[in-house]
Amino acid sequence: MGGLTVALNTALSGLFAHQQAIAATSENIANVNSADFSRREANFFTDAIPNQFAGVSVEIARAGSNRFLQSAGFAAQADAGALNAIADALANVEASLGAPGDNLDFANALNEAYASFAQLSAAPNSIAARAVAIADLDAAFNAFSRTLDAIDSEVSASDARIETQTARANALLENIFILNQIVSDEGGAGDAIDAAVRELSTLLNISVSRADDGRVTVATADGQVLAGPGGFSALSFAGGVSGQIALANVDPETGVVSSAQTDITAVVTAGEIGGLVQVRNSELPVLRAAVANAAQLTADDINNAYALNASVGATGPATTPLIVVANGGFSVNASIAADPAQLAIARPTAGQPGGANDGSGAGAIAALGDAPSAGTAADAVTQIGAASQIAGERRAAAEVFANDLETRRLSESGVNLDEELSNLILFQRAYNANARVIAAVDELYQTVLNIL
Amino acid sequence: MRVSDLGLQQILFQGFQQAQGAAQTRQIQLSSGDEFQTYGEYGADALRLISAEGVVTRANAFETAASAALTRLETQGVGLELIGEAINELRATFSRTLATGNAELLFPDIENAAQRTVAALNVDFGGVFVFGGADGTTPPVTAATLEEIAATPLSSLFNEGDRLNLAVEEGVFIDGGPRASDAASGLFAEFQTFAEAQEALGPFSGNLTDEQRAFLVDAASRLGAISDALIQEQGLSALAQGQAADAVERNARARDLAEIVAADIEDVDIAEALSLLNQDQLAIQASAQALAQATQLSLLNFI
Repeated sequence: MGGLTVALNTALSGLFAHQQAIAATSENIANVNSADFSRREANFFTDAIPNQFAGVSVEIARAGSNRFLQSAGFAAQADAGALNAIADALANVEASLGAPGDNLDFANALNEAYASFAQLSAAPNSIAARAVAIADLDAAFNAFSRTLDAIDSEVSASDARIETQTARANALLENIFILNQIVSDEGGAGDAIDAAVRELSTLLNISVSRADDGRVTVATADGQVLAGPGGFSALSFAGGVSGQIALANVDPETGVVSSAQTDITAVVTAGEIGGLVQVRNSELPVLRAAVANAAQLTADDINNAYALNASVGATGPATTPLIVVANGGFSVNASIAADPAQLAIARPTAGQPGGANDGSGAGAIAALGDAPSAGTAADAVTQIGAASQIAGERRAAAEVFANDLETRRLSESGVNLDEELSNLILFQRAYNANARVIAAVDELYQTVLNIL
Repeated sequence: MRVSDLGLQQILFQGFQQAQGAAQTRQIQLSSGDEFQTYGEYGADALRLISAEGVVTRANAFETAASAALTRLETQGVGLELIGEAINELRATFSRTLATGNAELLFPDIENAAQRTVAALNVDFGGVFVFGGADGTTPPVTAATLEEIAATPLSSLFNEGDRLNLAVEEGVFIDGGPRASDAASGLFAEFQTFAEAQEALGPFSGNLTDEQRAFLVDAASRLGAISDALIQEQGLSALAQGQAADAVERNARARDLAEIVAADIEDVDIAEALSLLNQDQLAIQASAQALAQATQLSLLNFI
């Protein structure tokens, strides 16, 4: 009887082990399309007690991800997140220029204005030609303002986005801390940590280290701990000129954020937050300076030329500027815009009355189409376009790289249906075989009992 | 190497998206006719494109300006011709009067010449008085008849601006033609002299006196000099007309060249874009089919 009992126990252990394996395979199949799911693997072990029991036991484990691929993937996600933020912001600024051929950008609008002054110089008596020239000049400086406003809006939008994403990063850091407390007891916590870390890596560049029990420590690029088994920190953003990202410890018990902050702006170089910080602290200010410089040079050139012009009947040059610069903005002098007859387009000589609206002064302004300031404006347009294009190309490359790494990582830890099908058949047959052994033992028991 | 189903789907989906994006780009290219839709995509060529577009814009403006200048100068040319004819007829009248010794028709002819001259000088084109110099808003000659000319000091006869320069090309100005005073101040002075002579030497009617004959001989000589001065102005006007006509052509050539440069940069090769669109559509179909098969993978059929 002892031998039959051993056989029964052995078959029973095989039955239970393969039942768990079938359950694990079913879970894999059910999660074939879950992004952060690592497939479950059934590892069988011999489980024997001499002369009593010779069975199997099973351990269901999460398939391990390739650590190199995983950390490379996090870095690639961070780069893609940063470049995505930069490319989006610069594309919005570029949109303020309109499409080539629309002639909405300030360089083309300036050309239109200079062309109108050329026509005015040929028809100096025409009030309509004066009004057109003034309107075109106003449109050109409106185009400058539109692009400057677009840049300023992007800075504001970046600030708001950084605030939002900083709050999201803080929630993820707290979540990682909480999951670290239970990861060794619950299989699903590992997937949740992976998902949190993966999302965090799209927000900022992080380094991740893992303990054997599945707990993770997330740190900044220079090693400052963001979240780990022992606690977590919180990020904060100061807008304005500094655009600083700071880090402070959080008391896990009370949730109170320490007042002692560390400036980590320099190490947050990637992720959406890093990209937004970079674009609002570096990229946009450079473009703004280029556009403002082009507008200022253009305004100076026009005002210098205009200062040599005279109005109808005047004996001296114009005393009011044609382009008014105030609070960083540029506009055509309101009084001249309201009364085009005031536009001084004559060029008096030797103190004689300009008197007669000779259009030479308008021609002198038209000639500014070949001045260096016109080239500077065209260069600023090109600079914006180039910055946007380069950012777009870098984003595309980073996304391809990140996707490739993710696919490779999934190849190791993701679910393959063919593999699961063969495993399922294998486990079902083993389950059936064990069931047949139990039935055979049952028959033997019946036979023995009948003999008795 | 094992491949996860989710990874496979992601790869196929990316391929599908790329094919869709490429096809969309081709369709936009074909509908707009432009290679790219943003300055950034043109890269360093954006600067050349903006410069070329600027040249097109300004050359168009200067072409229009030069055409307007040419029209103005041609209108002036007609006016100068009419004045020249009036002077020549006046000289013929003087000669006839001196030959016949009868001045009966002299003053009616002078009156007629004065009125024709005023009409020629006060001609306007498109609301601009072309002999008004830079100020073409009012008729440049304030008198309408010989009597008014005689009664008005020469300095008050003309209401005009400075002699005008016209922009016809980038940085190129040409003479805007004579003002009324440039063309006719000598002639108007002569008209006034006639009126004064009538007062001093008696009315020019019937047979000429010796003093009147001597005056007409001198006046005929002065009219010759006035005619020569007018011919000189006509020559200058013709020169300016030639310059304006040349400027129109040069501006058109500059615009055409700049348009070629811009077109080389921004125009899409339609044949190439159509061919690529065809390829992209095939790629969309292929990747859509592959993606559909991958997403339909299921174990249910085998269980």
